[in-house]
Amino acid sequence: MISPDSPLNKPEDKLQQLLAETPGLWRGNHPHNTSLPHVGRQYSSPRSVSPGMVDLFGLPERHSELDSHSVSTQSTGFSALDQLLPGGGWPTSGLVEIVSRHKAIGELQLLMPLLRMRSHQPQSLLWITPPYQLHGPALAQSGINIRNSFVIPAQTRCNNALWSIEKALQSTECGMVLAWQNWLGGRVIRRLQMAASEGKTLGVLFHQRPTPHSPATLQLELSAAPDSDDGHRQIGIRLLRAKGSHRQGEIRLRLPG
Amino acid sequence: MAANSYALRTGSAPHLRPVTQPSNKPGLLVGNSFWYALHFPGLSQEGYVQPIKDLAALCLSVSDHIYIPGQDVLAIDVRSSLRLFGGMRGLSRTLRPALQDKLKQLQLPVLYVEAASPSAAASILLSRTHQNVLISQRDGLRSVLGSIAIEHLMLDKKIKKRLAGCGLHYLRDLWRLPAAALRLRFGRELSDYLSQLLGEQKSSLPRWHERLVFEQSITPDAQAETPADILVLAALLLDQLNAFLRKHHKTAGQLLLGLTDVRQQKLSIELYTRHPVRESSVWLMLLEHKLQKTMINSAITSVSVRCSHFQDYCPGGAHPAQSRAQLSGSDKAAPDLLELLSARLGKDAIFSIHHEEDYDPAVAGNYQPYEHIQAIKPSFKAPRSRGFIPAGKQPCLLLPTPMRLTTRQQNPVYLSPLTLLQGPERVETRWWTGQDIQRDYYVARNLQGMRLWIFRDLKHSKAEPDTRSCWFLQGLFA
Repeated sequence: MISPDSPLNKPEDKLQQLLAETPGLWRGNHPHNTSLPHVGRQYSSPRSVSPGMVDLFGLPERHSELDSHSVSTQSTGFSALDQLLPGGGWPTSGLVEIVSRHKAIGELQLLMPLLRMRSHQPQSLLWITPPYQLHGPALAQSGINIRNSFVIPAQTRCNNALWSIEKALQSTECGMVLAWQNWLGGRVIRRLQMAASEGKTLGVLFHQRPTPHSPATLQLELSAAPDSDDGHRQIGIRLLRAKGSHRQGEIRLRLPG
Repeated sequence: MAANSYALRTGSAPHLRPVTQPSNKPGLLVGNSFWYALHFPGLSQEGYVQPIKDLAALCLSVSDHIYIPGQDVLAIDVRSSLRLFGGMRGLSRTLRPALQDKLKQLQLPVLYVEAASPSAAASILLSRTHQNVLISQRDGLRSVLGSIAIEHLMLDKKIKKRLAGCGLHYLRDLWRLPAAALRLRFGRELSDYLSQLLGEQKSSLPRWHERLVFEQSITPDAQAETPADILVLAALLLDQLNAFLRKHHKTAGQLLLGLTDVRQQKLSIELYTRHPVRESSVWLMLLEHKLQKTMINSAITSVSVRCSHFQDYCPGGAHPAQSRAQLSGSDKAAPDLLELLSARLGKDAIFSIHHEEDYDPAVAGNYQPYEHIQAIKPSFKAPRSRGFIPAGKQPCLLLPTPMRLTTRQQNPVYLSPLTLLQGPERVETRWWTGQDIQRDYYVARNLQGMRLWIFRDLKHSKAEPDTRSCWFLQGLFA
């Protein structure tokens, strides 16, 4: 289901127009706006990285496993997935892109151990434009503290949703942001990655199709897999790209319950 | 009337007539309060309601316990203020210039009658009967009040008429009669009032509170054409609001910003914060985001700020029960994330997840506006379920309303034919509302690997056995 505001329905120039309509967030991308300082412009040159900010493309990539170990991670709760991911788990901050052509194949189940842990921390969870209504009792049953979770519903306009994602990622009050967008361009992903680095927040973006050359910390593709012989639900996970690592791979993970 | 030397010695006003005998007891007053009543004859006409409140606001400088029984009189409990102001004389002198200036400003006669006694009812009655008198002891009330005519009492007209019919014209006539007999014959209202006049019975008088309203506007020489210009003007007003809040020891959680354009059209912008604040920087940041999504077609000629809802200021550390986040809210320099988001997206665009124990999924998992959650954050602990939902049987994502599924050979289809994995689990509820639910829930899977929560509507299948599908999609196991 693609909303009318989705950039998926628009060509690139339409996307630029959409970005320009959102002055708070996207003014840096507006070609006519030169008066305001903006983060996006800092990416134009690899040398123009401001101190204290991490520019993924400004730093020369060192393709070694040692670099990946410098990224702080936490276990996913699934040993097979921990082995697949560089650093042995989810990054504690940054942007994780999860690509799946279909919904309801177990994408949230994959994040349940992480959500369970993060929701019991003082920082809140922000769910931005989930495709359907979140079911509080089921989340609570899974051990997620729903009192600490806030939702921006699906009918929010695309540019407002993007603005909210950025503000939430920049904020230290938000421990984790889960956002659903059909597709986002590389520049937007880079901007959100920057915001996550600034706020030291973890953002999870759910997409339907992958962004080529995504600057996100982690990019995973999920696919449905047939149930195991004993009837357990399984999910296929392919590591498309990870920051600072050449590692790629694919596993089939057995989900609990 | 005999002078009360004790009252004079303790600082009573010489222009009032002290009447009671000196008391041997230490201290000036008997009881817990001492009422100073002011009657303004110029306000006796109909239609003067606001002036007495303006005058009462001036009296807040001497006491915060003010009672306004009518539009022409007010009574102040000054017991705790006498020492500070040097007795009644000092207190009266303190108030006089401000009251006179206010009366001049209101174009009313600069005249008022004072009376003070341990009884509020007596002070009010004495001032209304134009007796400038100070009664320091409760024992002296009976003799002074005795000369007041019954017609001046704050009683129902029927009672006054009945008293007059019995030949009782002055209060001293009533003092001679036994209280029990008066109560029996004329009712409780009279006997209670007489007890209050003599200070024998305390009544809870409603305390008047000044209704604080901050309302300021600014009209610049040059019209404001951009949001930045408006922000500059708003910053001036918000600084004034900050000073106002500090002066009154208050904080504010909402305000209304009014913009008037060259065509005299008015635009109102409401700003809210989750926790009341004082700092103008918070309001300015919220206003900036509001202005970004507000269409302003014409140049702005005037900007106004109105704030009428306040809360008492609680400095950090005053309430250990409050969370750290909330305490910091009173002194913060930037708005909360949720405030920031709601400033741009709208007040009703952010929700918290509701959890109600109900068998009907539509009721159990509704959203509610995030502001409805408790002001003090609950402990970071997940709510406990009482077993309303079996573990793993309900999905995290629900459709707002169940979607009817097509069927192929009596089997439900969603993108592809569904395979039932678990079920049925029967839910029957809401029979008491007349809109009962009878459903068999299943966990199903399609060829795309999607795991779905579907149900068969038993009620519907009985009513229309062969016409339409009775399978519905309720949720997705994401």
